[in-house]
Amino acid sequence: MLNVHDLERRWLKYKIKSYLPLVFSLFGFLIIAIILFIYLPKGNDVLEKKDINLSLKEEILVAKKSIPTVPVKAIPLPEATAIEVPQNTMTKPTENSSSLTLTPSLHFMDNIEDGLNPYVDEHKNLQQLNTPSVSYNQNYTDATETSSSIEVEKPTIKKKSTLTITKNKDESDLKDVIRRFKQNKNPALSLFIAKRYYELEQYQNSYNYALMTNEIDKNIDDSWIIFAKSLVKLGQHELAVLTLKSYLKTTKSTQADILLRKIEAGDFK
Amino acid sequence: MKSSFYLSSKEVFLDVVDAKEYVQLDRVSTLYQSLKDSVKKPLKMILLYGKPGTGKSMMLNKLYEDIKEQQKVVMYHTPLVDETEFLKSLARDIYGVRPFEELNFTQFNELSEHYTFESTPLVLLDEAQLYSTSLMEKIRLISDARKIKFVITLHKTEKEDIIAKEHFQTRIWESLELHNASPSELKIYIQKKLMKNNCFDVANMFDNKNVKCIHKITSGNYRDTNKLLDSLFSLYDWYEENQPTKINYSNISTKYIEMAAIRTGFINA
Repeated sequence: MLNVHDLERRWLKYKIKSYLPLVFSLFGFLIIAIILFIYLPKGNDVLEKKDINLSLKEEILVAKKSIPTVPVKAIPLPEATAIEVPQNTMTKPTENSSSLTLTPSLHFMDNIEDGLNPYVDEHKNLQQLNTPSVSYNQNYTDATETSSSIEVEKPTIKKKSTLTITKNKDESDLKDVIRRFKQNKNPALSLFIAKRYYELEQYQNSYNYALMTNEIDKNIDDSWIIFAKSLVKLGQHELAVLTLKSYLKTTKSTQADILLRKIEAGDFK
Repeated sequence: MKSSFYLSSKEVFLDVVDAKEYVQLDRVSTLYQSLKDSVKKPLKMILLYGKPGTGKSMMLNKLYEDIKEQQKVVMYHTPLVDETEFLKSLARDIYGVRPFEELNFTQFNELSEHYTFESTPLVLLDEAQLYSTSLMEKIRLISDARKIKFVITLHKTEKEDIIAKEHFQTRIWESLELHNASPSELKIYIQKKLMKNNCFDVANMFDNKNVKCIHKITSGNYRDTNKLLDSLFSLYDWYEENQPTKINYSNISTKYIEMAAIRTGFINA
C-alpha cells in the first residue's frame, strides 16, 4: 500500500538531514567571518573617521592659522585662494573683469603702504591679491566690502579672523617665526619679522631684519621700504634717502619712489 | 487519461526478462555483437559476467531469441542444481530422448555419441554461480568433448571470480563483461524504453538533472533503475488521482524521485 504522506514526511526528514552539513559549514564560515571582522584591525576605518572629523571648517581654520607665520610674498597664491575665498566671491570679480582694464594706480600703492603697518589691513590686501582676476582699478572700498561679505556668509571665517587679530598683538608668535627663520634663512620670514617689529615700533629690530632680508635677497621691494622707514624712525633721514636712491637706480619701484618723495617732502616722519 | 498514462509507464519498468524489451545502447550493442560472433566460433564455452542487474539475463535471452531459428539452442533460466536432473534435461531438450530412470555422466556421453548436428548445439545457462562445483566440472568435460557449446552467465563477485578462474580459465573460451550504464546511457535507456511503449510525453519529461539524480541513486544499474522508476510512476499515479495540482507535467520532480528511492530502500531515511 502506498503511504504517500508518510513518504513525504520521510523525504522532508531526509532533505533536512542532507542539508545539515551544508548549513553547519555555512554557519561555521559565518562565525569565522564575524570573528575576523570584529577582531581584525581596521586601518581604513581609522582613516575614514579622521576624514569625517576633519571638516571643511577645521581645514579652513588650520590653513588660516598658518597664514600669519608666512609673509605676503612667500604665500603661494593658488593654495590660499583655494582655502580662503568662497566660490561666490571668486565669480564676482570674473564677471567684472571683462569690463575692467589693468592700469597702475597710486591709490592702490597708498593702500599697500597703509597695509604695511596694521597687520589686519595687510591681511585684507592678501585677500584682495588672492582673488583671481581682481583688477588694480577696483577700489579699496570694494575690496573691503567683499571681505566683509565673506565674514557674514561664513561665520567660521569671521571667528577665525578675530583669532588672528588677537594673535598679531601678541609678540610671542614672533618667537616661533624667528626660530623658523634661524632654521631655514627664508627671506620671507625675515621680512615678516621686520614688518612685525615695525608695527610694534621696535625700529632697531625691524631695521636689523630688513637688512638681513636685503642681504639674502636684494630684490624685495617691501624689505627696502621697511629698511628705509626704520631708518627714518631711527632718525637716519639722509641714510634712508641715500638707500632708497641707490635702490631706485637698479629698480623702478613705485613704492620706493613714493616713499622717497614723501621722506624728502617731510611727509613721512 | 493521465492516470492510465502513468500506469502504462509504470508497466514499462516491470522487472521481467523479455527480449522484446531489450534496449540497444552503443556499448551494450557492441558487446552483444561480440557475443554473437563468439557463438559462431569453435569455442567450447563462453562466459558472460558482470554485477547483478547489468543485463546479463536479458542479453542471454536476446541471444536465444535471435539464434533459435538458426541452430539448436536450449536455455535454462533456472539452474538445475541436481546433476541427474541436469543431464536428463539436456538429453531431452537437445537429443529429444526421454530420460531414463537413471542417467549418469557416462551414459550421457554415450548417448551424445549417437547424435550429430550441423552446428554444435548451444546451451545457455543463466545464474551459473548457483551450480555446484562438481556439476560445473561435468559441464566443462561435456564442452571439452565438443558435443555441446555452453554460454554461461555469472555474477561478478570475488567468490564467483574464483569459480570462473578455477574451472574455465584453462579452457578455450571467451569472456564478456557487462557494466552499469553511464548517465547518458541511462537517459537513452529510460527514454527508449518509454518510447517503445508509446509513452512519449513521459519520456520527454526526463531531463539530464532527473537522470543524474536517478544515476546517483542506482549507480546506473538497470535492475535498480527499473525498480526505482516503477515506484516513481506509482507515486505519480497516486498524485494524479489525489493531488493533481502537485504534478509538474513538463519535468519529472526530483522530490518524487527521492521519495521513490526512499520507498524502494535506495535511500535510507
